Amino acid sequence: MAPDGLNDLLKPKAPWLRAASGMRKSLLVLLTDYVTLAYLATMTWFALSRLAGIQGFRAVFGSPAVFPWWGAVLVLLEACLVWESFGKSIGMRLLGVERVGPDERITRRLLHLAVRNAALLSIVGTFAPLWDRDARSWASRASGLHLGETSPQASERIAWYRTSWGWCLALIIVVTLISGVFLTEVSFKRFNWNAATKMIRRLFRPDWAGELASGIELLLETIFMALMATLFAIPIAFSLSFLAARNLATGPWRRGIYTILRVILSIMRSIEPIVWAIIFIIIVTPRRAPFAGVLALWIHSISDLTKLYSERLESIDQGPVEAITATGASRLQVILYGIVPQILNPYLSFTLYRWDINVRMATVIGVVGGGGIGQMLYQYIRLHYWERAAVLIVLVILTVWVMDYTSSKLRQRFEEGGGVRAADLMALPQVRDVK
Amino acid sequence: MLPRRRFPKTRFLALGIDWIALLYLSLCVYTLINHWYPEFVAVRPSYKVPFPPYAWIIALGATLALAILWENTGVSLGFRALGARVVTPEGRIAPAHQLLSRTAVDLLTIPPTLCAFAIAAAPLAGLWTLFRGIAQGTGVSFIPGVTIWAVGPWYLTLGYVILALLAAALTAALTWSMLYGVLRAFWLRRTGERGFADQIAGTVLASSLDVQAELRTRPQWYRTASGLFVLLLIASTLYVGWIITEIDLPKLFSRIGVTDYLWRGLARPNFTHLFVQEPILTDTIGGALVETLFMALMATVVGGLFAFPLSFLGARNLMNRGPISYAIYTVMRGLFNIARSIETIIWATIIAVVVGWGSPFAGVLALAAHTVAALGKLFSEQVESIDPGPLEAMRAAGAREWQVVLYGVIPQIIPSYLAFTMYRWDINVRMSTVIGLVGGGGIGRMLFYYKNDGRWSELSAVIILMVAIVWLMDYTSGRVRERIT
Repeated sequence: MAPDGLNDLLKPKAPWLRAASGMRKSLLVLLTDYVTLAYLATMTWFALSRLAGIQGFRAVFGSPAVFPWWGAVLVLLEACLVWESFGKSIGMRLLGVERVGPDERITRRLLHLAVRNAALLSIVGTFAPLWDRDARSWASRASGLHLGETSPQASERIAWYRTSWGWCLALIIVVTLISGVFLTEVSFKRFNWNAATKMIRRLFRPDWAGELASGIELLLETIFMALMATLFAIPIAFSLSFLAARNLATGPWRRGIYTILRVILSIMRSIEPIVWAIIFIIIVTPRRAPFAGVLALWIHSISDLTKLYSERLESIDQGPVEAITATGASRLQVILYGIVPQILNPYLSFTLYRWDINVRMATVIGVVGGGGIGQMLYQYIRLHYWERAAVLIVLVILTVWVMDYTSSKLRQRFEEGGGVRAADLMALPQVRDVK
Repeated sequence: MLPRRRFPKTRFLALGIDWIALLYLSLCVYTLINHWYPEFVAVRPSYKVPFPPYAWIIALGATLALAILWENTGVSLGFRALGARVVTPEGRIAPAHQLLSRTAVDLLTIPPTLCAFAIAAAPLAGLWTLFRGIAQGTGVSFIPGVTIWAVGPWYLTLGYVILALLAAALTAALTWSMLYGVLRAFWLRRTGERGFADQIAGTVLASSLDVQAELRTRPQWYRTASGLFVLLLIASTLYVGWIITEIDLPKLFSRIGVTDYLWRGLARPNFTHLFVQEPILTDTIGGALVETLFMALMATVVGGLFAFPLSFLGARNLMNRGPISYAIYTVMRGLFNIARSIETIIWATIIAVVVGWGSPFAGVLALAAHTVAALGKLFSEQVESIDPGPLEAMRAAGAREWQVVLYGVIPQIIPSYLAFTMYRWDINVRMSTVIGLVGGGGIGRMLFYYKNDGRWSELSAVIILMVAIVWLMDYTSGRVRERIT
């Protein structure tokens, strides 16, 4: 028989916790609505001012004398409250809740709006559920309306164009696209048709004799850049993948290493190789441009391969591992004979895939001075040597195409299990099918 | 009697693999010679050992001869990869005299066959010359580099063209019958019959699974020629790659100490210009960030809208209703592949020339060009993998082709289309962050400016914001895709 205090703790949910979760939901709905409406208002303002050709709308919007920012906040907040009291707002739709009550009288909704206004202004009423016996806010207590789960058939019943959130969503899409046109300065007046036709005509007359030989040399450099980056990334990614696999990270130390490693790798992966190349060129000087490209691709490959490898490790079959552990094998032996045979072919497949991506990246890393075919191509395009640029473009297309095709064929083979047998590489006793 | 591999295909594939591997090795050797020559001989460091045209012929011939020798004296790389062996009809190792005669016959037959292939391409070159000459108005000819007839009145030119076509056809008939004769004499046998070389030497080309047990035991990789050769290939690739990509670790480590200003700058991000205008660019980092997001959004919308109808033209199962639709399918797929092979950044460089350097519009167009191709390919693969049942039912009920697409295909593909488009938006956000480096707009423009100015603290701030935005998009698109599919 446990003491009473413990029983209280073991209850499924303490009342204040339940209240907090209900309050959290209502605040989340309010936040979603507010962000949506604020976005809609800003973008509409922007689009309208651009459409009307008003210059300097920022000055109008930003100056407190004309329209104070806190005024906008209050108006938007009030709009949210009205929307939530009288209709199904977008936040309610997204979180799958509805305001339900004993009946549908309009006075209940008006009362809810009024009390909610007062409660929000005094702040106190909003946090009322924390100490209220029934965990209800002032507004809900006064009007008898509360947030409840949407019934499953309710959302099916009404077509989107007959709901307020549907119109809001449609409006957001329209306004976003209109302001997108202005923000990205879409204008066909800027289109230099003369230059374009000239360029296209010259692009279709490649200067094979003048550029092919040096182009192939550059292409070789590009492919080798990708190859070296991939090859040097393999051992590091392989060893890191064991630290970055969730199922192998047991205990607080390994867990900590796992978390830190995942975060660092994720940051490294989010920085594009071109940006890495900018940094590495400064370190190794532009005289060794391909080296900078290799380093940039290498860093990015390590983070990407480690992620792919460790995800594969997380989904290995535990059976062989447990069987080998049961024979009293050491940790190294377990990895070597229990895990490696399972992951060898997927790893090869990922590596091929990464080489394919690296070749693509290596063709463009030159635009910031990272060596390879991209550097020359960029120079030719900037100098309008279109005949020479055309040769390099054709070479790039061919290479990428061939790499794509070959790597997908080979990967297919690896994934079907026809690839390399671990036994061949590790000198294990082989099992053959003897007729 | 042993079951045999399909004869000419395996034979030629194995030869191709060996030849290419040996050619690659000789390329590595040439690079190494170039690298080491200035070390021992007093020439300038950029000196290149001359490689005259006849050296090409020597290199091709020598590697071919080496490949043939290797294939006949042991298990070559190509034979190992394809699982084929040269054995006696009983499935034993062939004795030396048989292998010797096989080598001799191969050496005598393979070069003429390759020459015949080269000669057989001549009529095609002639046709190409003819069309080129007519298109450029230089004259009528089917011999490359020589103009036989000038372009005159149309009836005369037409006559010349007809004569030239006839001559080309005659040449083609002669050379191709010669090629066929050579192939027939040496290689083209019915499946199961032996090739010319095998007949003379009394050997067979068998699958390595079908040979006798003592041949089937495979030695360790380091005791086979192909295993050692692969090791040699990997080693020379690493060495040559090290040279070609100019890897210099001492320089890297010594310069890391010298460029400490870079690290210090990067470690102290400066967010001043997040909302304060950068005077020369007349833009804030925050504004550029918004611009970046909208570039990606517009490109995805435009690309998706164009890719949607085009994907039906690029789907094999909808476009196999005759030669014209099949041709459209092939052209669409080819265009998708070509446009996809050119990276967004190269598209941006080209389009920036047309639209103007540094405008976000150029970025949108570049991203859209790549998006149309990538989404078009993904979409049409999706159309190809739909359930054909409803389509057949509709066709049987007498529906038109557009009705089949509208009511049978589209409802099946909408969710995956949305998922692919979200995924593409994610990629486009990544690309749009860097597209400003080459003349698109957005935050890449700030990056380019700070990089050229050497303002590393601001650069660091820009990079941090890029990471944040990419992370955010990655997370959002992942969540949304989970909900859609």
